[in-house]
Amino acid sequence: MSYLQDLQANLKALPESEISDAMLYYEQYFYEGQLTDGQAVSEFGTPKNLARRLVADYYMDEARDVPEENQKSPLGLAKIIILALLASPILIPVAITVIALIFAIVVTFAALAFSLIVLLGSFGFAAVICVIGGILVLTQSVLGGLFYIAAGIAVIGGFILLWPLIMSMVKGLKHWVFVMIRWIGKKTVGRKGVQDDA
Amino acid sequence: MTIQIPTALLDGSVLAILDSQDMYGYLLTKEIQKHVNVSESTMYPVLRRLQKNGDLITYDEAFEGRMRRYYQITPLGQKHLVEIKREWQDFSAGISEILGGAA
Repeated sequence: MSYLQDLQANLKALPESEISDAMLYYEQYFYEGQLTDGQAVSEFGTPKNLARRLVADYYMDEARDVPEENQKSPLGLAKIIILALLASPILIPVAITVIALIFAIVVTFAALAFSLIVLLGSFGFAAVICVIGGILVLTQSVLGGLFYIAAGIAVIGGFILLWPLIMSMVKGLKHWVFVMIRWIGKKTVGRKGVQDDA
Repeated sequence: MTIQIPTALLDGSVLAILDSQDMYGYLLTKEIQKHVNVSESTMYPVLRRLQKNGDLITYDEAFEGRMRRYYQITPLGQKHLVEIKREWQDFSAGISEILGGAA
């Protein structure tokens, strides 16, 4: 297999368009430089090493360039950082620790958000039951029935008032997860220089 | 000891060369290597990133029956070049005061 074929075979982790851009660049470079496969190895390292650097570099850029405003998807960011970690030359135990940390953060906050929603949801549900129960006992005890109906409606009112607050709390949580994951990503896969060891 | 060129300065050097003339990857690499010691494999990621940031665009041109992908600086790239130049002048002036300048 030629150097370039070998390189291409090792770039599979990249998106299609990235592979074709990189291959075009290196094909032209090799042609202009009249590089033999042996010279290519001495200039660029083995195809496998070059491919690994290109893949790592791509995912590091992806992880670093996630814009500040784009806080919609902490999970998407976590995925990119995990890919970058796996592609980067970081020691495997370190990478596993960081991935576990990201996983723990995501799970913790998902559980928090979930319990908030369930808590509020059950209040709402209880309030509806209260109103229905109140209506049902109305024939037996007007005062008791009215009490349950009023209590249920009051809780529903509170529920409607609180809902946007809870939702913004969930959104806030999501934002913090995003910020934490991004911070971890910057500390682990972010780089200061583009120089490599070659 | 060799001092490694920081990302910002390598970006600036690429932009400065392209500011005077459009170039294709191989020529650009050789041009940079005339002045500073960078490895061949450093250039592609730099070009890719600059292009992604909108500092460069590419176009293909036929040359002796083959295609060459040329890199061209954009107005945004020129703006960044001015900023990098200014920062570099401040920085190098400061270091020169401590270490002694070439002049």
